[in-house]
Amino acid sequence: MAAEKEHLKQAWHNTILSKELSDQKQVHYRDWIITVSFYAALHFVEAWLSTTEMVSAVKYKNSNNVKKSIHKIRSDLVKKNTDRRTAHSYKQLYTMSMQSRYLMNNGAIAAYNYFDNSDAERAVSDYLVDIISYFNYNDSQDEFEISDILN
Amino acid sequence: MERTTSKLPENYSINNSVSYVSEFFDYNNLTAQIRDDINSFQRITEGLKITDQFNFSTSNLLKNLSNIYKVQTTVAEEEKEISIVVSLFSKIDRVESIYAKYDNGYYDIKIFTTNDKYDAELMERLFNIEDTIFEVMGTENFNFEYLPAKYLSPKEVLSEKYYIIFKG
Repeated sequence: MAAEKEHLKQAWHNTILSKELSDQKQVHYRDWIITVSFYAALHFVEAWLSTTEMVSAVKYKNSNNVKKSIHKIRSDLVKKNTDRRTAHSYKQLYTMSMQSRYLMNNGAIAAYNYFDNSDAERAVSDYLVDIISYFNYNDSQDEFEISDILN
Repeated sequence: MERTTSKLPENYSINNSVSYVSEFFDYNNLTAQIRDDINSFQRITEGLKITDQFNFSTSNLLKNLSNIYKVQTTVAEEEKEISIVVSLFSKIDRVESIYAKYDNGYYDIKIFTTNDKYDAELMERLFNIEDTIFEVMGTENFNFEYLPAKYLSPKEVLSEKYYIIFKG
C-alpha cells in the first residue's frame, strides 16, 4: 500500500494547490487550476489502481502489451471500472488539460483566456470531487500531516 | 477421357466472335465474371508479392490467399467502424472536421469543434457519443480528442499520418 499512500500524498498536494488558486478573490490562473486538478485526479486514479491487480497504468500497459498511450489506458480503465458520471468528469479534466497544453504550444490564444472562471470552478469543485468521491478518498487527507503534503 | 472440341458455327471468324459470344452467353454476366477473374488474379499476384514468394505450390498459394482474405476483411471492418464514427459525430453541428490516424490497431481520432471558449456541455454530448460507439461496437480501439478549430489548425497540430474523414 506504499504506492497508494504516495499517490494520495501527491493527489492531495495538487488538490490543495488547485483549491488555493480557485479560492482567490480574483481567479487569474484558470489554466493552472484546470491542469493541476487533472493531475490531482490522475493520482487519485493511480492510488486506486495500486490497490488492484492492475497496479498502475504503466504496469497494465506493459503486462498486457497494449499499444495505447498511458493517458488513453488510464481513461479506459476509469470508464470500465467506474460509473458514467465519474468517467465523464475524468474525461472533462483530461480534455481541458490537453486543450490547455495545445493552446500553450500554439500561441493562437493564451490558454487562461480560453477558459472561463466557471470552467475552473467546475474542474476543482465538481469534476475532481466526483473522482475523489467515487474512490472513497474523501477522508484520506486526514491520514496525512499537512507537512507530508505541503513539505 | 475423350477431349471435346467446341463446335463453331460455319460462319465463325475472329471478326464476328463478339456476336458469336453474345449469341451464346449473357454478355453482362460474362464481363462481370472476367472482371472478377482479373481481380482475383491481381489479388493472388499481390499476395505473392507480399511474401516475395513466386512459388506456386498449393500450400503457399492457400497461405497467401488466406492472408489476403484476412487483410481485406480487416479493411472492410475498419471502414465500417470509421463510417459509424463519422455518421454519429457529424450530426453535432459544432463539429467542424474529423481526422484519423491508424496505428498499431488503434485509431486516434481528432475532432475539431467550432467553439471559441471551452464548452463543457458540448463536450458532454461528444462524450455521450463516445459511450454509444463503445456500446455499439464494443471496442476500445478508438481514442477521441477534441480541439478548438478557431485556434488550432489541423496542419499545425497534426502529423502527416492523420487523414481527414469528415469536413462539415
